[in-house]
Amino acid sequence: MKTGFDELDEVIADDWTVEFFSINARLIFSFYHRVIVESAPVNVLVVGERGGLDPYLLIQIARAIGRESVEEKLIIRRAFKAEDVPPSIESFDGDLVIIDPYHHNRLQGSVASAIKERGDRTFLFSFGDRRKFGSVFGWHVASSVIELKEVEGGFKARLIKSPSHPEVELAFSSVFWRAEQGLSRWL
Amino acid sequence: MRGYVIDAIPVRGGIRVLLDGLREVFLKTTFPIYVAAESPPDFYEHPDVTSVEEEEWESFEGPIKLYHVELEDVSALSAFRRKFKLYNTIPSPLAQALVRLNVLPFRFVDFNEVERVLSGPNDFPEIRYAEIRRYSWFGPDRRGNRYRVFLNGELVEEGEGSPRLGCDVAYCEGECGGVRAVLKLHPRSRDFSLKADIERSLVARVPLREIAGSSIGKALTINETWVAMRRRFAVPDVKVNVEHPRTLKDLINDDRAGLIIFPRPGFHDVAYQLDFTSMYPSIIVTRNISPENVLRASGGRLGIVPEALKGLLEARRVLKAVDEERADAVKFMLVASFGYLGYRNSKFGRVEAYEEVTRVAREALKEAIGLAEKRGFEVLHGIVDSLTVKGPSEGLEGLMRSIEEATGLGMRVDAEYDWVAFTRGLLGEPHPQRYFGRVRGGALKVRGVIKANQPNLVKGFLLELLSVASKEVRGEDARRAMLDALPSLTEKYVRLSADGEPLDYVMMVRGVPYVRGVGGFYRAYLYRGHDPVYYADYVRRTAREVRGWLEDGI
Repeated sequence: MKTGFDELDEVIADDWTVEFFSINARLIFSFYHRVIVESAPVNVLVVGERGGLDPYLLIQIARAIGRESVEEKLIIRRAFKAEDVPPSIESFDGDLVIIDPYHHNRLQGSVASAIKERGDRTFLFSFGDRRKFGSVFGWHVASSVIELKEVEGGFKARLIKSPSHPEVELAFSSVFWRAEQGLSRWL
Repeated sequence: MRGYVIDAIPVRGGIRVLLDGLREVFLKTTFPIYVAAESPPDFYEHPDVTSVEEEEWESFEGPIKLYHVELEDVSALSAFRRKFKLYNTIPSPLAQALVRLNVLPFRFVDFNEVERVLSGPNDFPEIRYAEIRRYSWFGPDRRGNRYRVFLNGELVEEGEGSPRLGCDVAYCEGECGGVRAVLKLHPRSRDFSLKADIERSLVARVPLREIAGSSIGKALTINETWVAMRRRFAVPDVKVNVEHPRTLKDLINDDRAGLIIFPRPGFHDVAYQLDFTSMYPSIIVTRNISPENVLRASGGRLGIVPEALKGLLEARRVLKAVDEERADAVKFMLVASFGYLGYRNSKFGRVEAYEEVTRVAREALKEAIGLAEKRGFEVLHGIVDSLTVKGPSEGLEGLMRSIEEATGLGMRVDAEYDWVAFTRGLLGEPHPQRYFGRVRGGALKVRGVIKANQPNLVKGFLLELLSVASKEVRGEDARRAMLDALPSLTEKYVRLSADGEPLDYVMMVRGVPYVRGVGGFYRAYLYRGHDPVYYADYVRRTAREVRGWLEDGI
């Protein structure tokens, strides 16, 4: 699994469970669509009553960044209520993207435990400021936690928790642009 | 003793059955609950347990072992709920005990007979049922001071303060101290009449107090649970769903709503609106779509949901000939059945089943469109379960029969239009859900033109304009009549925006009355003036929009 942003992928390369969060709903929404396309083939679990995943945006992104069609490469399940989330997580074998795992604000313990018991790589994407809720549930589940922030001309990814790296902030241009090495190739 | 069962109150060791005429019978009984436990716990530790039996049941997850526990006091249920996972808690243990005793709500029962129920399956109870509805100056209002009393559906009294009367069942809004009744309820919503709720109580076989004021889905779910229990299929409190895994391509194909064919804007002479009768429930029944068999073979057996709906479809068909209001009460259960099939908290919900229904519906409408065009009809509009066509009237019957044969679904003519008009949206695109037309006989059928949250003034403007059109038999004449009347009516209503009655300025938003005052919108429980400029602009804006609708001619 990868995000498609080289520096970020390098930072989280050894982590099994990575959580991304942002208070900017539009940014995290776009970001995880990009990550899903970059990580295809991959499993996806969408948690929520409605929406959460825009199939046409995924197809568009794949086309925009020059990937092959992802239509047959994503395996998707949806969990519409809190009780459905833990068994849905358990039902997947292989790498998994979970969109808004704590959406229902119920049974967080069971959700966190289902994520923790997974034997494969897992990316979590949460809406809102996880620092405010992180101490209550789920914070310990992810080995790396990354906050996304929109800034002029792009977005920043700030590594808040990591077993191998200090707190760093990485800046990127738009979520939808092709990943390029930029200045780093001159290093 | 014999009489109509109005209500039932569980007490230790039995049930107090309340009959019409303020009479009462005590029946000795226990209350069943179903407990899931790995190893048999010592249920007898609880003083209210009278018997325990181990039983094998089917469930959504496969066969399970349940302990059927009989309780002397139904209040012990909460202790069991805290400690164990329970199944079959809806219908309530009280309703289950009543059915076991053959004492059914609103049925005429003879307590000396073994069979007990004497009234027929479609009989409505001969009781006195009353609804006390409250009103304020702007219309229906639960907190209003004025009341109207409807006894057995007829308005018998209106006044201020609190009414006085005696009856068997009463739905009360506000102060009802003067109402003497066997069962007096204060339902939270006004969505359904007392008669409709009594009908649902009859159909679902549960006391009225268990479904009064609750969502339509509750009666539906109870009905489905009775079918499940008869099959020894255990129904959990919370049904856990793990969705069938799908590729993105499959998800795009499956997760779609009903089919909508954009209409041809303009006025069309002589058209027919054909509807599939009870389309979604019929699909569920004929295609045997049920949560327990949607992902695995049914083995030819009708699923739980289809079986429950089959009974409701039949009940509606029979009641339609007897009483339209009672038939409508059942119809609303059928209408809810499809949504509940996909609702996440429904006990018989599963999104794959829901999607299968919409898929079949889309195919059926496409099939119908193809057949209509093949038979020389022009399709003007199609939306989910309805098709508006133009063509030879003598070919209509044949078209309907061919659609019925091809789809296996019933069809009926919903409206025969002298003319029908489809409109455009603000961006000029055909509006799929807004049309109006004159049906044979001169009445108007209007959809999406008048909105619930518009001010009464604007509603009046639109109604008057439409009534001008309803006098014309030809579409072009109706269009011209509306265009001719538009300036004078606009002027009249712009004038009224300054010197009308307070009621003209009220708009209801989710049951709350609002008026636009000079300082902004306010809740209009008391009228405190209005902003004439806002209302005049509203009327002019609406007039401009209507003029746009009338630009498309024949």
